[in-house]
Amino acid sequence: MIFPKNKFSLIFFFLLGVLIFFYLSYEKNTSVQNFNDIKNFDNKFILINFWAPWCKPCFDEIPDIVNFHDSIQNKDLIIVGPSFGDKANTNEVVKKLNIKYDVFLAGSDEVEFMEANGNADFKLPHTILLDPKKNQTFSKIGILKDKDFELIKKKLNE
Amino acid sequence: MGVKYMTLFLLFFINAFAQAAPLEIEEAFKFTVQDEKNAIKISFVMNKGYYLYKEKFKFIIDGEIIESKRISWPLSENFDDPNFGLVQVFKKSDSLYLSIDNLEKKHTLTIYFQGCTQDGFCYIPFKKEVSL
Repeated sequence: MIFPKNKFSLIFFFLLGVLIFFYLSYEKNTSVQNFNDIKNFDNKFILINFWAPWCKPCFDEIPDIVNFHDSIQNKDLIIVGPSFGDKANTNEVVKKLNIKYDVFLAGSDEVEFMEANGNADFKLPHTILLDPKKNQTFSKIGILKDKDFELIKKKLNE
Repeated sequence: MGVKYMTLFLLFFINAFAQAAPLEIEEAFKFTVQDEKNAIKISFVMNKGYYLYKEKFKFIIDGEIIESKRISWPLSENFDDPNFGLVQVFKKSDSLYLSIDNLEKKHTLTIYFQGCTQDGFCYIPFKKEVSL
């Protein structure tokens, strides 16, 4: 019988099982809960769409990003939407616009990132594409147009 | 003649590009403040296509919020906002007045405001401090 006979073997196999479980869970997890999580995805493109629930252009733009997210089917791309709004309003918009990519509240990390990317007065929406090495390859302040989505697609295939 | 048309074309191109570039917030919404008798006049200069939300304005003098009954607003316009419904905005340059008594010593006025462009982007709420 393969079943371990002594309690040390039992503990060893139990711990091994726990480790395998966490390893597999980690590999499958592509959820981004805050801005720092982006660093965990070394081999991915990250499309960051900064927005706010009180921003009408953001509201107009998000359905196109949701469609892009649905249509692109690219496992190497993660889309995130840091929000400069409060939790309740942000969640309401996420539900209303059926946003399926990760949305979280923006904080000081996002503020610093936007300042470093030429948006010191925090105009929204602001969309930035980072390549797998986390270099900025696309940046636009304002609503994304069809040509911008085409350019993003092109960057993903470079 | 060719040079003239080329210059005109270049000027048109530069102008079109300049209009499309997002303005820094200080350029987008310019405020000037004048201390008048028993009132403070706040003028704002608007760029074409930009607007300010009326209800996002807040005025604080030396830490005290100015009550709404002491604010004389210019004419605002209706704007259908996806989240807030029908709201009031300012799209044209104008002035508002804060009725204040006894402004004899130095004071600090803080103006809180928030604005957007009609087809492009919004600025997050900002504040501007002015010494009176």
